[in-house]
Amino acid sequence: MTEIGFALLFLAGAGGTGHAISRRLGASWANRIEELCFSVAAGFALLFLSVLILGLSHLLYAPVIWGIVGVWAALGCREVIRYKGALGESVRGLRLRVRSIQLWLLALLVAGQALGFIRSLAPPHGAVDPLAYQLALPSLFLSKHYLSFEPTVTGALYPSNMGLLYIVCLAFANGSLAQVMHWLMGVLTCLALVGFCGRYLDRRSGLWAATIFGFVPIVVFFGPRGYIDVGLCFFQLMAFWALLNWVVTRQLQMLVLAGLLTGVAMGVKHQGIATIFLGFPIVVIAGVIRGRSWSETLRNALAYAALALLFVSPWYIRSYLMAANPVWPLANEFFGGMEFGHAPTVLSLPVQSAEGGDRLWGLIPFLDWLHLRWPSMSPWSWTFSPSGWQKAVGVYFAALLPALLLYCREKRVYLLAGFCVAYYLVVVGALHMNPRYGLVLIAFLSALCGYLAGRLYSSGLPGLRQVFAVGFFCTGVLNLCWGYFLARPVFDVVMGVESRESFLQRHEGNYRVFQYANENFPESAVVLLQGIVKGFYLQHTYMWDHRHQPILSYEACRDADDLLQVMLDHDITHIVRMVQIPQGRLGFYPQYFADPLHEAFRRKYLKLVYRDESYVAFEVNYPAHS
Amino acid sequence: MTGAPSDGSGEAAADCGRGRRVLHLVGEVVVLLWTLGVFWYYYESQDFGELVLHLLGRTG
Repeated sequence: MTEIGFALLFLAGAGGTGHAISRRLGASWANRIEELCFSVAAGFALLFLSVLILGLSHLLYAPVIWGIVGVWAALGCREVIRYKGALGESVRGLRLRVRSIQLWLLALLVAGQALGFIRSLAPPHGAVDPLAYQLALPSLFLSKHYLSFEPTVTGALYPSNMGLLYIVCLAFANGSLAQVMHWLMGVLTCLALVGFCGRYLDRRSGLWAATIFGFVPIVVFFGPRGYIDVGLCFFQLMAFWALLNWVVTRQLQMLVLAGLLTGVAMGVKHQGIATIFLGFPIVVIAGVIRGRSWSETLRNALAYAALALLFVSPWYIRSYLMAANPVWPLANEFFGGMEFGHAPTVLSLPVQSAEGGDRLWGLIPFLDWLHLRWPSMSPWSWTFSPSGWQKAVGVYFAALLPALLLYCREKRVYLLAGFCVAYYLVVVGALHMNPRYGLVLIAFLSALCGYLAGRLYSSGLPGLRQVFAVGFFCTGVLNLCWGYFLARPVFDVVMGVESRESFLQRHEGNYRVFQYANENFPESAVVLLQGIVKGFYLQHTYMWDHRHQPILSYEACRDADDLLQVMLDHDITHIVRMVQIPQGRLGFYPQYFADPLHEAFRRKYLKLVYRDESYVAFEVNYPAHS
Repeated sequence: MTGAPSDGSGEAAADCGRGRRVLHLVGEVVVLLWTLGVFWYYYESQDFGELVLHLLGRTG
């Protein structure tokens, strides 16, 4: 449970140092919640910058991190103590009254978040992305003491501000603390929605919005795990909020904050680039509509973009120096960067499908594409038949958005709805039609639905508001049931009834083979991971064999001896392999035990040293003369 | 044929306002029915009934 203490310390550090920054900037706030959210965002930005400097300076040693974070947290706590009265005001800002619907909403939200919090305290397990790279890379950086280039690990050169936070978490405690911090980003987003709605929509809609966002299945499922998407959502939301504040108040400090937070969001993940793609036109359009001169408009837009790029530039420079492409491996054909296995596609452009060729809709390429891809991009299928949790947006948007027809009477609501449409097009066109990559859209939609729910609840017809409240409350209770269902398997390990070791042996498929490897492989071992083998728990140098990596190539191998040469070229001493690659993943890996080349190599040069029902470990037997 | 022309236009305006209010209330009822219907359909189609029974079976 030390994770709770550290999480609170980091929160105080972020809130306090960020508050000092915003105080120096001279920013003024509409409410305490807004002040708190911007302070925390700015404070985390400062932490990211500090750890980034350590990482680029080869100083990622635990004692150095403790020292830097200790000073940051101490400064933050001092500021928090000075302004502790303001924290109380933030809570009072919610203006809760017993028997009010707001109290019930808060109860639902707190219960849902508590279940998520319990899940976040469990040892990282199950999910592929965190254990393969989002937590695995910070662990590698910490063990190598700098931001090393691991070309076989996915996202090796992606910007990774959340990864920097996870380095701190791993230096202080373990992967659970990283999960707690990611969960905390979800809580902060809920809080930010309360503040945002309070300022721009309707004070009563804030808690509706926060409850809706808190129960979105993507957030519930991924929030308490070591992903980074909810963190991206928080920083994007803050960046857009600061931009809106600038549009409304013309406070230059807000434009500065918007630029910095846009840079932070871009530095969390490449998907954050969408922030500047929408932010820049917003600055220009705001200038034009307000009748500002072109020179002033352009100056503001360029200042905003320059600040954003300044904050993200260390990541781009690092990537350029390592792979000759600032956004490697994206747009690799444009930059001519280091070769990449299977280049990822960025834009989902309309193309003619084979099916559409002989149908009516096939005559118009866009309609053909729309027909083909509609199930992937339709909010209706994201609601009722999502392909995986990363597309599961939950029930509230389909249920409440039609109420826009009734309640959309004000300019601010039109503008918010228009922004959501624009961001939806970004998600469809550039973010793989995947709502998990564009969670800030979900946050703004939650704000919109929160407003609509608030209006529906204040309806004039007798009994209608009670019926709606009861219906909404039932959905909340059902969501809590699901949350409980997800959290139940980790109760024992979180409460200390079961040891973390035993829990991981039962719940993390890789763990036993890595336990064996950590205990039995020599210090100098270089391990090749084949299949869905997530390296987080492996304490040796490793490479990951998958089609997106540019290092290991079997194409030129004609026989087992050629393959041996590939292994020798990379000093590979051991292999950990998934026994049966699932059907759906065969595009990413060969079915090693059915592949003639790999089988010939196994028979000739591999010695089995470990096996369980899912994974095997081999030692490579090099002939004496090689 | 009663009342001054100005009264007539006032009545028409009042009627119009009443009509709008009624329309709005009808709209609210429709929206409420839609919302509750979507809630029901969603939790039914996502097998939440089974989930709840499962949890009750475990805890009950």
